[in-house]
Amino acid sequence: MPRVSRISRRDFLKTTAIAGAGLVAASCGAKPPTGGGNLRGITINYLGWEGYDYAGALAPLVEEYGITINSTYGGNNEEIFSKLKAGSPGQYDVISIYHGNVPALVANDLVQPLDISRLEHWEDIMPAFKNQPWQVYDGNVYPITFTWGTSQPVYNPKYVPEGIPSWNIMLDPKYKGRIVQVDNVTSDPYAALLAIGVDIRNLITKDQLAAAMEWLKQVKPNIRVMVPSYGEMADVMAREECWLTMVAWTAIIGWVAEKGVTLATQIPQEGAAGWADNYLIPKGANLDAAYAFINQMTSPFGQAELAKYLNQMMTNRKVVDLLPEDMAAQYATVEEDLQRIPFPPDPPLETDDPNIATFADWTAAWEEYKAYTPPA
Amino acid sequence: MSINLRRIRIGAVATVGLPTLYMAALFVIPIFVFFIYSFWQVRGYALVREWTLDNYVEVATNASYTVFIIRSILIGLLTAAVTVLLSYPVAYDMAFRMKEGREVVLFLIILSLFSSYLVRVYAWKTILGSNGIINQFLIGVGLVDQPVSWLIYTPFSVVVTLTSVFMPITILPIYSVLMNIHPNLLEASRDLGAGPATTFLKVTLPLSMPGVVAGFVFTFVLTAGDYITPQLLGGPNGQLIGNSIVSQFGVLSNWPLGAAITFYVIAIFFALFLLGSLLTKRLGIRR
Repeated sequence: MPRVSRISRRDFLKTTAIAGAGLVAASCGAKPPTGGGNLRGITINYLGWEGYDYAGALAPLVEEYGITINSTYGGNNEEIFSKLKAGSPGQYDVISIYHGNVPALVANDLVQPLDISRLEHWEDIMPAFKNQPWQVYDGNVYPITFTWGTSQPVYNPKYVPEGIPSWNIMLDPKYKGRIVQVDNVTSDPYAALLAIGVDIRNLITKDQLAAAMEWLKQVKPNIRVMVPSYGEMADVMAREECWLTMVAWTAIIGWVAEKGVTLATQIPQEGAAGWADNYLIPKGANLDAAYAFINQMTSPFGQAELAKYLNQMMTNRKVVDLLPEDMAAQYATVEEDLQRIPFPPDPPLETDDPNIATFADWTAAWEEYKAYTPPA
Repeated sequence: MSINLRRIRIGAVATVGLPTLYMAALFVIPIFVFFIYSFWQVRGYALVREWTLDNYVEVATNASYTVFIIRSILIGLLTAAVTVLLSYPVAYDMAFRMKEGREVVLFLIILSLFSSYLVRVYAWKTILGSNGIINQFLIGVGLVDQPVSWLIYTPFSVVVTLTSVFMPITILPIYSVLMNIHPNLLEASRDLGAGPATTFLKVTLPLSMPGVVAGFVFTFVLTAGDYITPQLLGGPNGQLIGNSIVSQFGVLSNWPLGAAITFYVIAIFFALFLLGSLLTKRLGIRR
């Protein structure tokens, strides 16, 4: 999930309708994992983003074994992290979190390595999600990525027929007062870093951050509005107040289409930052419960249900067989696209290296950008 | 001690005690908790209970916060001024001109307060937007070729929206004070030879000042502290200090810094209030 509040997504999701339909469809069809161990009547304790415990995807598992899912939600990644840290070992069996937080979880000894032999669908997970720097520590894999997306721009082809071939078109004076951006400290600065040619798979230095903010300040005269959420961004684009966005969540294309406006998206040549959401197993978890949950969610059926519910990209290659045509088409060039999608680490909270920009540095830089008034 | 005295004592305690308890529990204690927070820090997502002034130093020295605070004060003063200027004639009319219509208008004003604040903000988006009512009218009539872009996502739209939100709340105290002006005073003024304008300036206006000041201060504080309207309508250069505080309490999970910004701003607003008090006394606007 991109690092922004979830509320807009909850507004969007026609939860009851789809959940209801999903549960009906789910009863006929998927084979729940066998997994071994005693699953009858157990409770699986989940901590993480709401939606990543989607009942429709879990239904075959829940029904086969009479399982109860006990979910605790966090409104953002920091909350999920804090709740895990404040909890006791064994309190949670499986958690979901954004890729940027995985290093901190491992460093704080809150999660345990995955036993690949117990992951039924590991073979089918896309190769790009098996060797990311934030996945492997001392030869051990801690997270399994089950969904991902990119922080790429969205535009209205009626006004921007040439699309967004490069992030640098955001500087073009012809777009003065035509761009909308979201108020999120780790979204647009990454776009700026890509625009000036920085490799964002490494930690960002203070100089690089400063240069990125200078680039953003040049874009600011073209910004018409800074929105608090992607739901609000969709509203602005639907009213055609703006022609293009900086970093967006591509789900807004679907929301805006419902209002009769067609938008398009592309990944600029410099690339777009990726975000990946993962399941991990905390220390002290009931391993049978954890692997049953994970295997169900990473199965082709589970992935297809999640895809339809969340409108996000999945990681099990076999999901394509179960998706409707328009969704399956998104996977046509996915392996090549992933070459141009770096998954950046989060700015560290603390660091011994004085050159590296900490999260506090990023926050201060973003506040400075918001306070900056471009010359008229 | 006679029974009457004891009854009076119990009565006094209940009368003063209950509101005090209410204020203490729902206001003083929570505010005090956050005041303590402002001297702590957050490290690694966890609260570190070590005393430090670092947060206040950060707020005072970071130029961004100064910009936001100045913007908030200016927009607050402007909105309060416009709101009071527009509210006064309405309140005056209701108090001195209307007879039967008075209650209907009062009812309508109070009714408008029932509507959701957020709904009204979105309504203004529809009115001021590029494809909104105003622009459609201007283009249709031929006054402009392109939609007027500064109607929305600028400080202008923030002032307009908040004025419309706070007018009902400003009309009421001014109306209330005007209604309390004894007609004998106005009659006496006329008897002594003063014309309507002089009566207004020398008698009515000064007597209504408590209501005007109440409305002005109320609107100023709520506007300068608002973050929703600036967020939705203020545009890229319209973020106010409230937005920074919300960020710290929300996504950035740094409650101590958010609390420090809050109390720093409270101190500044309080200083402004004292300044305003002194000024109005000096200028003879208040007794």
